[in-house]
Amino acid sequence: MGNYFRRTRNIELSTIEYLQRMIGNSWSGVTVVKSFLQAYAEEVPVVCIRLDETFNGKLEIGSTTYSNTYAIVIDIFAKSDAQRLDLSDFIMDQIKGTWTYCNYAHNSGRTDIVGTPDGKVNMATVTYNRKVEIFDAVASQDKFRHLITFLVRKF
Amino acid sequence: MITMTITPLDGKNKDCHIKNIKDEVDQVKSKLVSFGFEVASVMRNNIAALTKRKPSSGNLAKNITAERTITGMGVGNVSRLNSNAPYWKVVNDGGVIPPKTWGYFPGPSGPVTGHSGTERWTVTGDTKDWYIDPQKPMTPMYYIEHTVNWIHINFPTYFTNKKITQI
Repeated sequence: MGNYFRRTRNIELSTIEYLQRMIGNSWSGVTVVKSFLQAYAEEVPVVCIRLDETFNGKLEIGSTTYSNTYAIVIDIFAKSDAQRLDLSDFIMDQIKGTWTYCNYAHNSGRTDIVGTPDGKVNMATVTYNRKVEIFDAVASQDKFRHLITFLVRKF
Repeated sequence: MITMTITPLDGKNKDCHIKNIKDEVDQVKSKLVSFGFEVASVMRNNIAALTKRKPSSGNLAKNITAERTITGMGVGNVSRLNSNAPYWKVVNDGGVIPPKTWGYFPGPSGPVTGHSGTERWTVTGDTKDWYIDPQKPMTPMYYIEHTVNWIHINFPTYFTNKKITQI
């Protein structure tokens, strides 16, 4: 294997991979993307998952080890208000516990990314779970949007 | 209103304990007020840091204020924002593809190649200017969510220098 991904990217990819698998197991026709603009290039329903922010904290006084907290943002672009509520509830159910943290690496040709399990990602706090109201929504993506943000830690 | 019964077990006067509690409550209230002002400052900094198209007028950030309310402290007066920076919500949530319009970019020769998505345009409506036909939705800034995340991370440690557990 060539290059290993760093912690932040691994947290993001682990979360995306986990939720993509869970959504794929229970829903049909839901596309999962990792960038906001990608979501507008797809037919709804689309779920956009990305790591938005990292809070660096020290593990303890005098320690040189970081104990980071990561903010994950999930934008849901649904077909209807009912689907928006169902999808958001489903995702909330999936993130309430822990999921596998993987160290990812790709070969030199970047043709394959392989994850090796190395711990767990734990959801610490849900900071937002709300409808996004766009009053003059033109794009179908904007009509039934929902936002979930939460903090996670690796252990 | 919280009512409690205090039974001193250490031989100290009950009034002494009551005074200590009142002092601590006053300190916590004062600390909450300063926390509110700090949250507003964090939100303003988030807006400045997350603004992609520069130079920004700074109008949105300037209108993020902390104010005392009946229940405590409030950050971001919605009435004030609606009147002075009505785009506060769309900047936060993004998503809308801006309408086609006429306007100009900062440079004298129009938009600069390679600066896509980073130049701020000014709408004039004058057909002699550049015709601007946005193709992509606005990326949400989520400055409110960034600030709430900050609160969740920092609030627990904000009061650690107060000896609340000792009262």
